[in-house]
Amino acid sequence: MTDCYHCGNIIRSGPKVVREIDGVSHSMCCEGCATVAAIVHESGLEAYYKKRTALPPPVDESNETLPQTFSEILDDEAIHQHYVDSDGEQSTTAFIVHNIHCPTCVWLIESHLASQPGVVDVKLNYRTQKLKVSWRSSEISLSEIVSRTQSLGYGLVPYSSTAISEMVNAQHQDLLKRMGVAGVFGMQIMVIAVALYSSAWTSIQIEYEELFRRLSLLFVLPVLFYSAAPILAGAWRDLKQRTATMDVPIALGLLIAFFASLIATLSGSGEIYYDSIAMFVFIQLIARFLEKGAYRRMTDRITSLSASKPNHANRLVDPDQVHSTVVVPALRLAVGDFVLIKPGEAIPADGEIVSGSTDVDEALLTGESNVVQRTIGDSVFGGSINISSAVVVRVTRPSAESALASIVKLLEDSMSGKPSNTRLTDHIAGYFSITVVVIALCVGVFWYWSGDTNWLSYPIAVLVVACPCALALAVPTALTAAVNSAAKRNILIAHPDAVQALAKVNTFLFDKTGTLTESQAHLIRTDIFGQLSRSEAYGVAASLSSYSDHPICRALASSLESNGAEVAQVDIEHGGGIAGCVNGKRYYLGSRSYIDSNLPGVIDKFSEPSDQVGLTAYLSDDTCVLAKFHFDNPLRDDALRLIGRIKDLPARLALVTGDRQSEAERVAGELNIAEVHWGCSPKDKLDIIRSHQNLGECVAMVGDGINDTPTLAIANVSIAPARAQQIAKANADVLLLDDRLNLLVNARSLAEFTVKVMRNNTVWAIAYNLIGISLAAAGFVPPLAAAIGMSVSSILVVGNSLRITAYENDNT
Amino acid sequence: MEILYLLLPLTIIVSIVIAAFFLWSVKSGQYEDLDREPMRVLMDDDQVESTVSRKVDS
Repeated sequence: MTDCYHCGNIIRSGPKVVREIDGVSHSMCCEGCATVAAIVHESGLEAYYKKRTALPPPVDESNETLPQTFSEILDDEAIHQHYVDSDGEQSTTAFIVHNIHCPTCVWLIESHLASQPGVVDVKLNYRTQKLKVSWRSSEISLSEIVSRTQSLGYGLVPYSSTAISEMVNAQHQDLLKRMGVAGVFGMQIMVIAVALYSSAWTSIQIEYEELFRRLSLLFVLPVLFYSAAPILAGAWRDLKQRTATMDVPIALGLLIAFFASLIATLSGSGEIYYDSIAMFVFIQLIARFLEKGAYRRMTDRITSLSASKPNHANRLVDPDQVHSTVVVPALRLAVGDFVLIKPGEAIPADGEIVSGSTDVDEALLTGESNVVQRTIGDSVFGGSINISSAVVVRVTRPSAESALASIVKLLEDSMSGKPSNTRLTDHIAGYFSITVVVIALCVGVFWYWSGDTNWLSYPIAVLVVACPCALALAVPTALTAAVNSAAKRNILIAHPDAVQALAKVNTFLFDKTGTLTESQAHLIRTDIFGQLSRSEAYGVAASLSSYSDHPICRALASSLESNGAEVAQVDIEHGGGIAGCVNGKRYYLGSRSYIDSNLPGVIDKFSEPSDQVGLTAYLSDDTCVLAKFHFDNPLRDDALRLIGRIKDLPARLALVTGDRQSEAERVAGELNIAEVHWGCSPKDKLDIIRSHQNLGECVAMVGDGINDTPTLAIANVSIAPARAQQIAKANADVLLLDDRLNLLVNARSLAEFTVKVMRNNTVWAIAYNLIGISLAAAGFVPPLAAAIGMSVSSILVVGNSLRITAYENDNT
Repeated sequence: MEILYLLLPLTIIVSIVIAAFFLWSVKSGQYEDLDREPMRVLMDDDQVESTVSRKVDS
């Protein structure tokens, strides 16, 4: 046993590809890997293999997710108008790249593309996985660029950026600039402040003291009126709307401190608080920056996963001939066109079903995860996913006017019109801030009456000390650290909120195929009976199975060669079987019970060899069984270990699968799982999750397929393994980036640790604020000490959160 | 201590220059992708005649 040179997977017995590179022969696991390795070598990019820090998936399998049909439509005019910026000679477009695993991939793609003639500029962002390419259209075409990248095993999808992600990025840049400015000038103010404090025990000439104060005033202007402008604007907006967020006391404290210092500076007597203002603004902005950063990661991830790729459509040339289709961009579809939609594909435009019936996932449209049955005469909407079987749809509205397009537009409008941080914490912060302002007022009035000459410094100290910077930092810093730390372990947390949920999970539901077992079943043996020859039987089976996305059908379709025969009158029974007419004769392909229920008596006539072990499928015509296919769907290597480790947690475990009972029980038996649900449709899976949730359990769903997508959306935490289908990945909160299932347990323990740190942080920050406010009100805390105390408390919180980054799983 | 009259204005100028550089670097997208930059250093020495633009375009 050796490892594949390209993808690093262990090569099991079976066809091994050996390629000679630079005089050394290397073993590869598949032709795909061998081809990529050869291309990498020919382009002189060998260094990729030495420098990479993560392994790619085997090329043959990753290519499954890339529709080949897709490059055919890329050079279409309609696509160019929508995705490409062109100034006559030079064109530029943006892509989302799938399958990037480590920064070396970035280098490989950039170098490979840049060496292609006609490519002018390549820039790939590792974090967002967005690729920007400029090329001379006279020398190279868009489809060539895409296919060159695909030849390396990466997927490219042209991308037109959404208003949301642009807005989030603009906000990020803006905040970064304000934070930097506050840092630069704040530092100067602190240097001067140290000189001024030292005057307490050494003498300083009055003229220099004046000079220092004025200089501080100069430096504080950009900090207050540029860096802190969003805070002041936020407070102003709150006052106008008669609501309160933390912006109000912060802005109030800043302004009082500033004007008191201004008067002191001009009159030459009294305290100045410029240093407090600067530190305060700086730390406040750091907190906001970290918080926004976590959300930015999330939106980036979501846009890149669910990037609205230029959908292609299989348009029927002749409405009566289901098998002659041409691939066109969805943008090209006109009203009245007929399109064939296979299971797993997105519906390209709004339309009406004219033949077949299927389950459709309309989550993208309704936001609610639900699978609905659609049959002849029903309308389907562009953007929803066809889950179970192939249908023919007549287009009733062009792609650009589809229901999805209008919903996306509405969503973007509402997001850009709304102030960005409207969350529950703000509601609580509202009460807190009003309380703080009231306390500060009372403190000010009290000390003024008591005749203290320095009375103004006490309410300022209260306002500064009360700033819940540490509290504001407590959760976002921990989450950011957790997301980063997870990424280092090849776990991608797409929604930071999932961390808390993952720590609470007490029920794990597993999909079977592709999650606990290998994603592909393998055809291991075929028995032929009756009058069809072996190759005829193969041809019929392959043609029929191309209509379904069931794992068994995929296995048949991939290992048998279709004879291209037309199939008419297709009927699919979900999880049972498929029937259709090939060359005028009706055939049935499916499980034993499917054949038995559709063709009573046929299976009894058939005396079969008595090996009932494993997965089987039967091919039959109206009168007798023609062939029996045997499959093997082995457990994944580390499934047993994973289940063992989950059993050590205080958590329940269940297997939920669409497969039939015997297969489900075989797997459950091997893995020792007590709760098994078999024969589940996507809808049944939803019901199972809901029933667990109704018992008050926190449910994690681990699944990889299209039929798991609705379930992934409603589970408290959804987890997709490395080889999950793209749609499943887009719906998952947590993605495992490499093939070890054990990462799941690591993610869980990391989440638990993170929640512990968050709790620490919060308790500490609240205690600090309560004690700080009482001391400040009593007059024990001068404003500077308040500012220092606030900084130190924030630093402690950040330091505590950093422990998450250093957190090691003892068992990986 | 008269030197302060030279040094303090100098501080102002230097601070403004630093801030301006920072704003420029943010605007030109240098903070867009912090994961790739360390890798670029490692990869630079290779024999590949890369035409990947090293310049930062905004």
